[in-house]
Amino acid sequence: MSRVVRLAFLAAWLCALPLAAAHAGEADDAKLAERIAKLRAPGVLEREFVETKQLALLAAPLESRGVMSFAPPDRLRWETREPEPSLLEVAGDVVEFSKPGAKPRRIDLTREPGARGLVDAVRLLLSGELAALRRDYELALSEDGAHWRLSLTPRAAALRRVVARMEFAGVADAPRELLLEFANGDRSRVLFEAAP
Amino acid sequence: MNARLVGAALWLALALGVTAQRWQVSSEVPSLVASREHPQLAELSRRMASGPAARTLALVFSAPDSVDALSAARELAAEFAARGDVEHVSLGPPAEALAALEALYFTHRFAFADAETQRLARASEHELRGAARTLRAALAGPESSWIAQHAARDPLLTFRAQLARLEAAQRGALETRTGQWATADGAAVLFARTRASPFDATAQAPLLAALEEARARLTARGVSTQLSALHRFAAEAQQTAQRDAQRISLLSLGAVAALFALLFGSLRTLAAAALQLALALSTASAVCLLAFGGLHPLTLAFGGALIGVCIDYPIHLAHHHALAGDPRGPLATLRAVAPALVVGALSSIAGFAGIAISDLPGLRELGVFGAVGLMAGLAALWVIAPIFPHALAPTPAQQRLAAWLARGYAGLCANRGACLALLAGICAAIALAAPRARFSDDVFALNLPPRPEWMAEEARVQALLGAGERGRFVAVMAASDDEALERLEALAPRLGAAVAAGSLAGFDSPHALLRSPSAQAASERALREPGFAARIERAFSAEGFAPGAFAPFAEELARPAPAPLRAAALAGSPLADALAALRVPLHSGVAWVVTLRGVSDPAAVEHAVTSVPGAEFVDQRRLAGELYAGYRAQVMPLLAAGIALVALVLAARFRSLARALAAGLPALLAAGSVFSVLALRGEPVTLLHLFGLLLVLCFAEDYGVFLVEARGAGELSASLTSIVAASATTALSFGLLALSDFPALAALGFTAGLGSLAALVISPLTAAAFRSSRDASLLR
Repeated sequence: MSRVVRLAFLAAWLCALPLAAAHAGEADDAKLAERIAKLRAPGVLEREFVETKQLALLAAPLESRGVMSFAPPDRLRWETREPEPSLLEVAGDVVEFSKPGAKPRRIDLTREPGARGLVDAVRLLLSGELAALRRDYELALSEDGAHWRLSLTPRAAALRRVVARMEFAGVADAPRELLLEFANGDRSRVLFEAAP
Repeated sequence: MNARLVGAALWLALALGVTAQRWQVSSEVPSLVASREHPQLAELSRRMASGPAARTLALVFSAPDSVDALSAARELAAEFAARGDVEHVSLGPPAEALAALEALYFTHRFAFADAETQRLARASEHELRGAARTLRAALAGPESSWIAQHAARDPLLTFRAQLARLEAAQRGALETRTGQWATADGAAVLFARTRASPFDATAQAPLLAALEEARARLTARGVSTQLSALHRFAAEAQQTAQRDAQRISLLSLGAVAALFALLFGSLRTLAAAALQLALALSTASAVCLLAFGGLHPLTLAFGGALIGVCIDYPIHLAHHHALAGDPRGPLATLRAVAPALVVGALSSIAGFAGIAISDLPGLRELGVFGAVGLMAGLAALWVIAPIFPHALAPTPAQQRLAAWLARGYAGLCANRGACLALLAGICAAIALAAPRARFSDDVFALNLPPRPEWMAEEARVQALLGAGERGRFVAVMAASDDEALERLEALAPRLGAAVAAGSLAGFDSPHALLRSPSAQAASERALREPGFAARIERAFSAEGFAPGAFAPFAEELARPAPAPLRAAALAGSPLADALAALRVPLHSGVAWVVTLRGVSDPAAVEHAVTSVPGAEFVDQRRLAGELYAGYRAQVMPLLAAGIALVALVLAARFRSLARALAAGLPALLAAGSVFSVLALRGEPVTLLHLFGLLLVLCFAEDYGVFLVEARGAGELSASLTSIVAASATTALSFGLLALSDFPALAALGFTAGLGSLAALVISPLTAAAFRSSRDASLLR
């Protein structure tokens, strides 16, 4: 092959690279959009959960159990039943936190960027709000057959000071796991099971 | 004449200039309150009346959708923020509030540990394991990410507890939604602080007008609003007083003009009288504005009524000039009647001077206004006299009136016994009725009664905000903040006991924001208990915490305690507004205010408070009532002394018991008659009734003096017609005042108006009873 022909092939290959990358990006976007669309809860979604926290403060992981429910577009309920019962209810930008024997406390999410980031991630995913998710997080999807993992890295510095990364994982259309990596190195893993 | 007129013009220009430049009307109730016995409380009342809390108005926005309510609050906040008369607008806590509070308090968290945490520092490992389980439970809950950030340095969650106390102190019952203040049921709340005092009604009028327009606009959009603002009460009081003053002044002037036209038929005489009134009132206003910095609406309306007294002087002069004038002109006539005018005016001025030395600023203002007004009115006669026609021919009406009065008076003189019997009857009636009088010392009742619907709205908003009672609080005064904070700390358990006993629903003490340096040091010391960090380590490890997890906590405890947190550090923080409402700098120290909620047993709360030095349970209404009662008790002997002084002046002037009685008795009997009427009506006698009686003493004594000073038939006729005309103008102006919406002005008007009629009847009776032989011969 002449030197000229080899250079022509090389040029053609170099020119084709971005095109191929663009096609791959489009394919990823389509998959992401498809995944997010499948995550959208059609009605009230209710799951039992087991949360395992690995905190630097604790010698052993700390486990809690309860029930989570989501009612589109923005109502989230997180009921911890063990080891200490507590209830966290989110409606719009207001969080109400209550424990037996204590006066309920309301928190304005607009004033708590850390808490808002966590709540928004769940709400936006379960509402299928791809544009909003892209606005607030860097998204990365990986799939292996029916198994998928979606990673969310906060764009806002205020949220990054609390949460370094979130990862949702599931099988087919069902979210099964939420992994939270906190800025201080603590980790929390929540496993979801369909409520009986 | 020209020189006098130029002098009058300059005088008037100066007085009006000062009045226009310094014009300031303030209906502040505490300005009526001051005391030698409670100088610090009086100063505190004054400062609180124009302090940040009093200058702050609160608006609550409600709509079916709370988003609309929040949006309406933002809209109005933007409008307020653009106004020059609004100093500060608060839609919600500052965005960086939590970070700012953390920066302030986290370092000092050991200094603000509660009693239980301080006790735990000495507690056994077993007890500390309970605290470890609490932390573990908190970490298992949904707040764990926030708690985990601080727990290594704060395992007992002292900072979290302090934040909760600060939130309660800063917000009351409010929470935030989308960063805005909101009530529990989703109504939006907006606070706006005005630059001027809420009692500066002139300054507040444009803001209140804009506010009403905005509220109407929002109502049309389905957003209802509720307002809590002292400003509108003050504005209404001022508007009512100004309306009353204008109405009374205009009607009085109209009546006086008609009377002058009827009796004298001379425009120049009317112009002279108008100039005399203008000089008297503008001088009194200017002096009061210079002396007190402002005029209370009460003084303003009282000024309108003073027309009725001041006009007596030109009326007297005009009648004498027309009926018994000196052919050399009005100045010569004035010289002839001057003794009567001066004796009459001086005794009235002495009466007002008695009020002017009061230690109640509002009453002092009234006394100064009256004394200066009468002095200026008297002095103005020498300036305006040349305006009178050189010779003033009596009009037919004046002649007919003079003749009719002379005949009537002659009839009285011919029946001296009947006159004496009538006077004795009046004395007996007074003696029987007067003891039935009852006094009222409610100083707030002097002001315009607040509209019930506004009061209800005020109460609703205050309840929504979780605010303390208005007008009832505990003030802790001391030479320094440190001392005051120590006293607050001594007070808190006592108030806590009052809450436990049901005497009080609750209280908010500033010591949630700041503790005394000694209490901070004690708390720091308590947590630095030897071995505490090691016990924490063992107890928390036993409950599953990682070994060494609380090393940062142990390291901080090993370091020296930071310098105590002081009030100055809070000034630039998100707590600045809360601090400004609770801390009031005084001339000789500082006062800190503890707000109270639901005081059901004031005596028990007062008892709980009195054992703490410098602490006072302040019930502003009761305090004002006590001061007012004290003043009334003080003013009664002053009145009696004034009457005795006037009697001495009359005795010295007339050197005859009969003449002195003829001149002075009408004043006593007229005032006594009005007092008896009040007693028989069952109307509580207020300080303003007493002022009305003082006015009655003033002009009734004038009438007596005018009659006694008459030296011939012409002068006697002139005096008779002048007291009828004077009484008519006085009854008219004060009668109009009796229609005022201001209870104080109505009381003053009723008393003085009735008194002028009583004086009109009694003064000729008295003169006839004691001067019948001379006056009968004069009239013959």
